[in-house]
Amino acid sequence: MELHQRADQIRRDIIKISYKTGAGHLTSSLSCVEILTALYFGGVMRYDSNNPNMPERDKFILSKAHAAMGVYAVLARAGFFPYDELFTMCEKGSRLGGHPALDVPGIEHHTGALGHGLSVSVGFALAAKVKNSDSRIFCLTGDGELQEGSNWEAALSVAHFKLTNIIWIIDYNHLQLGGTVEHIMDIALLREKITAFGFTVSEADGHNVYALADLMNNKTSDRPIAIIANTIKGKGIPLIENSPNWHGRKPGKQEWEAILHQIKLTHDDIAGA
Amino acid sequence: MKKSFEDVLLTQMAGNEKIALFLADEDHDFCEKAEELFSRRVFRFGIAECNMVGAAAAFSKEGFIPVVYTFDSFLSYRAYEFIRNDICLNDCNVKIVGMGGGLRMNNLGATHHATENIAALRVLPNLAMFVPASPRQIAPILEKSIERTGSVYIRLGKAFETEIFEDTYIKEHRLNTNAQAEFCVGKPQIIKNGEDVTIISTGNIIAEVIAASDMLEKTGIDAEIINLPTIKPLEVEAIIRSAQKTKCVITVEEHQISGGIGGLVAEILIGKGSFSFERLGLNDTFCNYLGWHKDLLAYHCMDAAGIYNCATRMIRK
Repeated sequence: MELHQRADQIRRDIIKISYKTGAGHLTSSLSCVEILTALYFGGVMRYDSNNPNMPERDKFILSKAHAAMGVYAVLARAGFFPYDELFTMCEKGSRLGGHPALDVPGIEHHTGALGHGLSVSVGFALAAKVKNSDSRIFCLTGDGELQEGSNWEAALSVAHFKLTNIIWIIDYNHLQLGGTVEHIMDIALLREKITAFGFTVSEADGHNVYALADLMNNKTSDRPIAIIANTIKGKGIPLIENSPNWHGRKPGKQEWEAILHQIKLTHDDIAGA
Repeated sequence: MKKSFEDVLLTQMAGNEKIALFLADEDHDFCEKAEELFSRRVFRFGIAECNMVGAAAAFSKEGFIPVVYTFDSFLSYRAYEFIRNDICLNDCNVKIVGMGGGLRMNNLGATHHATENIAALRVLPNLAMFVPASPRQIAPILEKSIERTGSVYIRLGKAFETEIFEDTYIKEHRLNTNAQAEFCVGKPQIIKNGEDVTIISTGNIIAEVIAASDMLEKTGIDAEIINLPTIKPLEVEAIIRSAQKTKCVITVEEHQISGGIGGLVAEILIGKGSFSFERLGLNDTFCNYLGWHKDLLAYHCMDAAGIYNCATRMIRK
């Protein structure tokens, strides 16, 4: 399967989970489909889904933890747990919660509150250095999330400790719960800000899975790497793309009719496995 | 306690390569010494407690034992969400050490006092909490904390604490001869047996309790003194037995009386009998009074005189 086809498959999985369970943050998950696909299927991360605790594995930390649905889809497709389990999300007794917990194979750290993931990545990266391991740590933050000051404490320390084994990816879709990032608390000149903190910063179309994979595979930088992925929140569903007020909202019945029409799927298509 | 802790920690680090030290912004000489001795295992995060705590959580997942060490108030207040989510929720193996607990930062004022953190921390799942009574109890507490798999918060004082575990001090104050600096996780320490009133404290304010007990003895009141080097997980039987014997309980702490050991002992004694019960500490107020440590304790009636007055008032009733 080509990489872009894998991304399409993951996007469809996310829509199915949302349709079947009503769980999760649909638009936030759709925003980072290509980022997650590049990480797990683009020859970027070293992992073994049959041995999730393989010592020499790379690690992925989902700091924008409300995009759990996207990570679950990728982990299931990568073989960390059975595909059908995806459709238990947020049901009674399920392992798959609204934010990822340690019970889920492939999840390294229980995240949820924003502004923690980059600090956690610093800890993993320092440990890798002490152990002389070449393991890399990939951290995905949101954009509104960067309003939390702890990210900038963490960014200072990534550069100070010369943690070139960290790859920090920012899902820059310009929307947060209450509206646009620019209106609520702007993080503009993001590239310049992060560059000033001591990172090598690249920008990419966050829905070009090939370009993302290439940037993530850059192992030649002598500085920590940050990738600003310019994305569209809700990507793939025109009704909700780049539209405020869809952060944690579930589509209603009529909205699902419109969505299915737009993405050319029937109820039977989406209700099936 | 600061100097004792730092000496003990460096000794422990020399004997255990898994221990790493995570520092914020501490005294120059200690940090330099630690870095010189263990350069690969000492990380200075600067004035950024949240990041330090989050990083320590992940670092521990790689088989190391990070000791996070900085001022008690900044650690437990500013970084609380990181302690809760990254360390406790992830059930990590981090030793968090807050220096300057209670009112030990004296006249630096209420921003630097840590007088609510027992309440805030003792309710966190997957976190044990230990408090040395005096410097000699630091070594066994740190040793047991390192041995223990799971996270621990150690609440230290800072300087000028009375050493209560010296032989001459024990004899002078007629404390139990087995009142040693030893530390057994969970066990309250009965420092002195008595019949009339049970006085329970945590940390070095126990020296004020002992002084109050000496004063009470002269008026014929026999106090039983219980030290709580463990806040959690706590074995409660000794506390219940003592309260049922004396029927009169006072808690003393450099902390708010709600939620600290006053609250803790009240929780323990619910349904266990009928007792006279007073809690000494800060009563829903910050300590904005200036002075040295003893002055602050006196102002808030938790020095020896305040404890003595409380006990005599309760017993005369």
